Amino acid sequence: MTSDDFSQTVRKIEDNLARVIRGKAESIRLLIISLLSGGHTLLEDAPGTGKTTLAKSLARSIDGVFRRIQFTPDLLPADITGSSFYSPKDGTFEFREGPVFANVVLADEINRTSPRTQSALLEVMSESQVTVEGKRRHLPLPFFVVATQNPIEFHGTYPLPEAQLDRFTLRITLGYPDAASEVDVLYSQNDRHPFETLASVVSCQEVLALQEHVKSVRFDKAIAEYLVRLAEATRSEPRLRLGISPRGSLALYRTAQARARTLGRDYVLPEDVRALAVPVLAHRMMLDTKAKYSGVRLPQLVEEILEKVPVPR
Amino acid sequence: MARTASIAVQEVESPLFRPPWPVLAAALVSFVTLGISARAFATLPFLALLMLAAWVFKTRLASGKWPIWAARAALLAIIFFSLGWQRSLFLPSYMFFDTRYVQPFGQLCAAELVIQCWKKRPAGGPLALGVLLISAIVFACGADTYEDRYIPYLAPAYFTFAGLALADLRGPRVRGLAMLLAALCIGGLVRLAMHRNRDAITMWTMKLVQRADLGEAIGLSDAPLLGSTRLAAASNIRVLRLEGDCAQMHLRALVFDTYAHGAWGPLQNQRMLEPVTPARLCFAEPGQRLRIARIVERCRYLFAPLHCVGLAPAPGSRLLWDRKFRAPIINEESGVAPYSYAVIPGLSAQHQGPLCAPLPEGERRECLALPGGPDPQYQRYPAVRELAQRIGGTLGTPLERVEEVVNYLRDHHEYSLTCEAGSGDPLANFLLDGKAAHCEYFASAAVMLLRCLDVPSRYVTGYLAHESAGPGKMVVRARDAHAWAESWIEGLGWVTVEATPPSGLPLAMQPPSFFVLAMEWFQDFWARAAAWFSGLSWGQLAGWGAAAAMACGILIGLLRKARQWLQRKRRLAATATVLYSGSDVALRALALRFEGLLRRLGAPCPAHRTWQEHIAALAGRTGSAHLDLEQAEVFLKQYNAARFGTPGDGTAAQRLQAVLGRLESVSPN
Repeated sequence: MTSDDFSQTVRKIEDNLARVIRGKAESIRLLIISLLSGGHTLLEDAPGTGKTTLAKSLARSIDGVFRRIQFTPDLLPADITGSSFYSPKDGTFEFREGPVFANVVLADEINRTSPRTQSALLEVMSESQVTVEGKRRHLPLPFFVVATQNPIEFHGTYPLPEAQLDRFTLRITLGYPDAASEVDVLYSQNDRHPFETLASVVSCQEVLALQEHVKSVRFDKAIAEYLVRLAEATRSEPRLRLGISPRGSLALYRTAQARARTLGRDYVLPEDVRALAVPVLAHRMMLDTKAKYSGVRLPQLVEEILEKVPVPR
Repeated sequence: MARTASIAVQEVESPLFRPPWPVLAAALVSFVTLGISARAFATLPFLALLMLAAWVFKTRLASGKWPIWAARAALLAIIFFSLGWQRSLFLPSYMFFDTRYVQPFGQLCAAELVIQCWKKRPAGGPLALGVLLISAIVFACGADTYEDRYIPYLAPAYFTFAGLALADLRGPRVRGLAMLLAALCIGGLVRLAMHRNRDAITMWTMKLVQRADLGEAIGLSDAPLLGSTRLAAASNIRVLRLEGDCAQMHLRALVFDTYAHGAWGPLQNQRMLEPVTPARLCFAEPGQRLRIARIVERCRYLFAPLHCVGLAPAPGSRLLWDRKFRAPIINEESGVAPYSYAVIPGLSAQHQGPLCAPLPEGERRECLALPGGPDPQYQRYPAVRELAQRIGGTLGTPLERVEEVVNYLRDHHEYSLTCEAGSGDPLANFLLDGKAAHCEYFASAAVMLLRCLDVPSRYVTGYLAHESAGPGKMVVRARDAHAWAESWIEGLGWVTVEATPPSGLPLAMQPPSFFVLAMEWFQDFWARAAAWFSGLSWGQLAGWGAAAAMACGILIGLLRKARQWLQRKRRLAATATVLYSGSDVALRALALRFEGLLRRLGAPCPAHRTWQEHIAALAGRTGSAHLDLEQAEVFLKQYNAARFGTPGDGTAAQRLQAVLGRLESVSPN
């Protein structure tokens, strides 16, 4: 795959998503970066801002298997991973795959199920495999989890465990569209929802090729050191109880490569690291109790840390 | 503090704990303090060495946990408090913090501190903070001492190191510890300050409670009594300020000639005080004057040297004096301070001025009278007479006798602020038993011996002025109060006889500490300011108020400008070096040149921003730098490709130089 092919394919996905989600180019770009870096995405915002639609649109843009899991309080781990059933026909146990056996999994309202069920996703997300009854089963590639959650509500929800938050490469906040885009949304859904006419524009093989191509982007050592200095700064920040894990550094490394490639560069710049610091790092950190109740917010804290660490020239 | 990556946090043992150097330095200062105050010159240096060894060696003792030592410290504290409490059952409550218990407790803490340095500790614990806290306790224990001469030097050192340690450590627990440390130190310092100034505090308390006469506080008494101690020696209260022709001199206040039962008379209320006109106090035309300001309140004496030519009181003063002794000279109106008058110094050390009245026959007898009679207290006086005859009975002239008596007293008696009066007459006991005593005894003894040798003498109290307060200035304090003798020499007149050994004279005292002098400077400054302010009219007040408001405005403006200048300088300093870790020297030079260009244009890029972001921000700002933004974008794009992209053929640097050259050419230098 050449650079031109890469750009063209990415633009196709972008245009396809932009038909459905209006005025959210930056969020779409971040979602694609997450896909290209081989990670998973957590979409977080108030109800009705288009989280599920965006996730579904991305799934439909890829010509692969798409499954949706509606997370409810009574969901069990086996409902996600799958389980063995007794077959009276031949008297054996037959494994029936759960909804995670897909290329794109939409975990809708993920925080409405208990941490016990959420834990079923830990192995799935980090290793792209399921181990049931001692047998390991690989998931189809590419494997991409898009989870949505509504951070406003507290009743009937369970906060995501830190271990699971750390497995989401990016956390994207959609936000409300601007006035012009919202007017556009109204008219675009006058006859039918544009999602209904959405067609797939990229195959699974192409996505895998895109992911491989991202890995060839040059990452200068000075920028890698800058990235690690940022991670260290979060670890020594007194307002934080939990800083960035090496998994977080790795996620920032890979997503910076993906961003550089989507912007047509074959090398990473410090700007890439800085632009992705908030979506990649903020959700992985834990505030100190005092800081939490004194109004400190994690994205602002990441911005503050960015203002402290010198950038390589 | 954020923990590193692992989510399940485990208790991991830190391999080695070494306190940071400010903590170590603070601990060492606390050891020195305790070592001096507890006189533990063997144990404390040993403990300090052990602590330093813990800093040098890597071996550590078995691990213990934070709560264990906290419980241990609490136990020690309980022991300490129970000791103090038991003691307070038998003694007044001020003995609660008796140094005898504080210092052993401090030593226990010092030992605990060493143990903490030698222990293996779990990771993540507040290690250095604990050591610092214990060192604060050790220092507080060391500062609770009567040997407080070293504390003014050690306390600033300790606080500096403790502050550095706290600044160095930081973290969420530090604020709590800092408050504890500050409370401990402030408590210790207040206690120390109260201890150091206990005389002044007592005096002020007495003043508030019963408006006591300050006669004793300034070191002079209307009825001098040969007591066993001389407490006024410690007081630093300033009594007189001298300005002009200053030299060491005896400033006399009261003169006595009657001695009975260890006390000198006549008492103040038994004297016949008469008005005296300023003309009688001045024998000569005013020449060079010595200005004296009496700055202590409730004291009405005018102090003057015996051999002065004249005394010029403040205009309008109504004076009284005891004509017989020509002393005391009293200002009739009041003792309000400050009261200024002038003294015209004598032409020679023997000049017989207005304070030297000729000795009539009646007074001569009084000045030669010795205590005696049937009173059993005076049974040793024949022996005193014999002693006097042994000393100077064979000498011809009175001056020789005076000299011999002074030499005898200085050679055979030592100076001491305390004296055991013994039974009977204290003066005879002093003379015959060869005791050590203070100046009142020496002066009284000189008077008695000289009277035995037929030299009319009397007892004088006043001040010995000796402390310089700058060129041509002196200050006299309450502790300079002194007693001496005056003798009548035929053909010469009255002379001052100083019999006290040089080691006992006020001038042998340690000069006041820096803190005392600084405090006095502030007092004087405030007094001058208050006097100046009270002398202003309403118009002047309004004028000065306006001027002060303007000055404040200008000062605030200047401070703001200075702050802006400093911030700008800091920004420049932050960007003065470029974080470049690449191997291409040419690119590094280009980066420095570009950064230098931005600085020259007054828009240096902050170290935490990328050039790209900075240029984008500049582009959005109107009238910012004189920078060709398009060319700058080109430069940055090419620079980034060369710096962070795949290494090229080496021509990138040349192209970049060309672009940068264009940029520099269009920008003003």
